[in-house]
Amino acid sequence: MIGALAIVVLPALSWLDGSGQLAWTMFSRTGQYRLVLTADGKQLNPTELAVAASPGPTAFALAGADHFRHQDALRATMRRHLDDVARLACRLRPGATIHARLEERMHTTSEIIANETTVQCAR
Amino acid sequence: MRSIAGAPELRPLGLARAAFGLVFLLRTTPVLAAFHPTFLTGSGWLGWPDAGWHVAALELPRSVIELLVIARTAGALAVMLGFHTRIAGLVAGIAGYLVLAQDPFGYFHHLHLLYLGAILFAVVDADAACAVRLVPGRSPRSSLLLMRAFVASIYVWAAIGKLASEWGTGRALALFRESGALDRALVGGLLATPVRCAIVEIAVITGELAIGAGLLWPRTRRVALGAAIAMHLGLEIVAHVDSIGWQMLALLLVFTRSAPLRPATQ
Repeated sequence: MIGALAIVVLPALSWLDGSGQLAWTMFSRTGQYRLVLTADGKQLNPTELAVAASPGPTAFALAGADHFRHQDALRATMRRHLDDVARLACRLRPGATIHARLEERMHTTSEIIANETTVQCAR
Repeated sequence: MRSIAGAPELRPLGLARAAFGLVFLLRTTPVLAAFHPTFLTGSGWLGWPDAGWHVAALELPRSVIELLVIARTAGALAVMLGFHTRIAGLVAGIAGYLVLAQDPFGYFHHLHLLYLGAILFAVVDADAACAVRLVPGRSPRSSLLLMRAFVASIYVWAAIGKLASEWGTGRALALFRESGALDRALVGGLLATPVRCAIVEIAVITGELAIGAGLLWPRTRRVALGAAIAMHLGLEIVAHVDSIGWQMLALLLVFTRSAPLRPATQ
């Protein structure tokens, strides 16, 4: 039972959600992501947020994300937690309206797919 | 002096468990801090609460996270030693996943392999050999089969992942080379042109599929084992692969030769 779960079910399920994160896809995928953040319409560089968020994995994922980064695991996680990232930006800009736009390329030659979210920060 | 050797037919499983537990400890604690490995950050205790801002999948109080890191370490130590692995492996694996949930951006395949591997060692007869507290095996055949199938499946899934991506076109390795994931000084010549990249990509996919299948068949096991070891050592040299190569080398010990399996005991 647990063998089937570990060997077949978990990897297969992670293929179904599009991430392949549990399917041992290390060094397989060529997905890229770029993050565009604005606070009240003004650009907020993800690296600025990364500096404030440092240390830790979230800071690592944000650093340099104003340009396309080639890291498929982070791309998939960023899409799943885009709302949370926007809320994190509220710590830098309390009271602002944060708009987060995630641009993804599944392959080096595929077209850009965008996901967006807007969060109103508390003061 | 009390023997820790245990059942000869399960020695491969015991060896793999001990080696895997050691890699688990080295990857998640500051034991190697003196050597400044790239994966060690902060205090060196993986996931120990820090002052950073984190996106959490499951937010837990700081004190609970600290306890989970301690439990994960104690569990990994017990797995390595072969001391109540049925409990220790579950503790190490589950605590590991809970700590990981504090920042999903920290998810990488090698951490999933660490935690899932520890859980799998908990459900097989991993303490029947090479353990400080020997426990007679209950189902040696299925225990060995499960761990061997698990290890072989990783190679097969890795090949499937590459087949479903851009591997084979030459673009994947070119991108990995340009992004700094591969040591350009070492692979520059080999991956100098798109055609060369494509050839290497096809060779890697073929190799992974062959290793996965070859490990499961006794007659080809030795060759597949040699190929797998060579591949992981090669990747350690040319790529930044964190600890996954060492984990796989530890897991490959389940394919070492064992005494003939005896009928299962009740």
